[in-house]
Amino acid sequence: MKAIICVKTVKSSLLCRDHRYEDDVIINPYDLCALNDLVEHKGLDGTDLHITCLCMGAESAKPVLTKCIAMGCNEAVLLSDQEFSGADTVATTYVIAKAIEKLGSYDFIVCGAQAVDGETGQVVYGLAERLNLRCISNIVKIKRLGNQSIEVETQDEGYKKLLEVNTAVLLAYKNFELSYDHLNLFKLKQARKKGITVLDKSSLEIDGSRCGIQGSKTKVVGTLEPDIQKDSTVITGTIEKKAYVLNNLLLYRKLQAD
Amino acid sequence: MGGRTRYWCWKEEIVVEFAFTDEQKQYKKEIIEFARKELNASESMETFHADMFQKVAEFGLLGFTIGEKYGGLGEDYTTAAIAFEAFGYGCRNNGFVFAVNNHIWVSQNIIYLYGSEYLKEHYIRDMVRGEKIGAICITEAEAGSDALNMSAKAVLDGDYYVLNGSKMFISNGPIADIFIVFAVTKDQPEKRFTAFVVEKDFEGVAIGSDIEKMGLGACPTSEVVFNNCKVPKRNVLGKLDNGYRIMTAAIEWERYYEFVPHIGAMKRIMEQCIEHVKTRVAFGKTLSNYQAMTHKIAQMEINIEMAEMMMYKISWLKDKKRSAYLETSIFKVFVSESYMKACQDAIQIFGGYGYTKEYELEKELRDAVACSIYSGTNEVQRNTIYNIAEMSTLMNI
Repeated sequence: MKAIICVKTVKSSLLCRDHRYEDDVIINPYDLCALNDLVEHKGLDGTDLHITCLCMGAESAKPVLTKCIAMGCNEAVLLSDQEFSGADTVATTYVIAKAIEKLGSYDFIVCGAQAVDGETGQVVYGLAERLNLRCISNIVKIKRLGNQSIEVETQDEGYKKLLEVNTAVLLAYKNFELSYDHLNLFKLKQARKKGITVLDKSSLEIDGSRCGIQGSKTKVVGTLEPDIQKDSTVITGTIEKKAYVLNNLLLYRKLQAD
Repeated sequence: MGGRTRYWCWKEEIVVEFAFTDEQKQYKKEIIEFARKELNASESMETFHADMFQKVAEFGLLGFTIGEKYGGLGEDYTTAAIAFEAFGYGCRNNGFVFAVNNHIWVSQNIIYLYGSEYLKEHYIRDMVRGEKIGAICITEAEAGSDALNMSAKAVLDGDYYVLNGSKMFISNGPIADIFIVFAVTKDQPEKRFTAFVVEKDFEGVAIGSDIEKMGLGACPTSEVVFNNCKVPKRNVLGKLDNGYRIMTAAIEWERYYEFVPHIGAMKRIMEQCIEHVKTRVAFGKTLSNYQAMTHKIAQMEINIEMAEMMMYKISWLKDKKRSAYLETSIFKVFVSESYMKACQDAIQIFGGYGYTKEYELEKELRDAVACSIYSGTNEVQRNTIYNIAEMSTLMNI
């Protein structure tokens, strides 16, 4: 069976963790959940699973793709071109769909439901639409890979479902994970020996006007901190005075509540 | 850090490349990430946990410089130095780091470098996989600094050497499966030693209980007693009566790689101090405005940088298969004293908070104090350094 996993790299600073990441960019945690689950099935179920990892991004994505190979992907393809930058979900799905068509035949595609930076959750459905695939969302895990079908577990609003779907399908994982399962130095060393295929606009033979900012229907012009305004009172003065005022305020509120 | 530096060493020009390769950078990142995620549980700080050791084995750290034929990564010693400094930086459990390094550098590594094909085939794979833990037995109750005064004896009896004696303060003693044991095999005309590979399950091996120590709680230490212990002849490590050579080599490795992680620990402590002085306010200003605080941190940085310079030189020598006896002696003294100073200064910078258990700085100091004692006390190292310096002056080198 041939699977394609679409991954995105995101800034590590977006995730709140107890310790610093040493890498500036990391794999999108929703895609990592998909990857951790997919590689579990290599060698299982009696099927020979070939996994291609596909990513649209900058050169800085290469270490992430090396890790994906170390995890068990057979190959990694990086879609990288200056003209791809600034793409919204419309332009992104166009490029990725073209790349998937160029890669040739496949049985199913897997990705995370959303990315932690944009969080639009649109790429999955846009991709399915462009490739004319059924999209099964809220995937929790793949239970079994058959010859031409896949058994999956989904969860939606508290209900778990087991579905058997025919291949030529796109699976979108609803959960996220923060660490790679079973990654070790041996696998990383072997992965580094394998190259990463880089495809640019000319090798994909695609229309430049539909890529990047040019091909985007929306443009992100900036990001702002949320403006949350509340009525508030600032207590000033010495520490003793502030403590006295605050104590009285709290007593007053308690009396009001009673 | 980058560029090439030429400097003279023993009248020979050396060119050293300081820039990390992409692979070395990646190793460093991965090891720090792994250590922080898997090895820093607070409940494991004072006791050895076998499952943690197994995780380190599965991660690939145990076989870092062991050839791929035996299941290792086959990396060079410079890359290993970068990796183990990262290990010391990421893992706050200094005792566990010590236990792992004991296993790798003075047990597994010694069998790998000096053992026969039989010994390598028989032991190395299991040690790389973490299925067997190693330890080294040199010190005795009455022979610490003067290790050559040891009294453990091995006498040939048919196809076996019968080993009698006891070894003291054996790191990893209670958890080890394989011991490298040094014993006297010849008395006349002069005392000669031999190194043996002894399995825990050999008849006559008795292991004492864990000795409670001031620090390094996650590295169990005990007495190991050999009572008519029968060791097969093929378990002689190196050549008969040539154990002194194995011993000095083992100590050289110990003085290097046991102390490399301490540089990482110093970095971790320094970062903790910098974060503290930037936020802690006294007399209306942050502590970073007071030179009494910042100069201590500056000294930490100076010591770390100098230690790393020595680290790279020694790893260069090791990659060239050259002796680094003087260099590792100097390295041991410098790193141990810098590490203890860093811990003491960190406690001073944190003030009352530094004295509490919560910030773990008191634990760092308790762990660090052992550095001036193990691998040969700093006093003995200074004797060694003086002797070599005197000899080189006499030889006009």
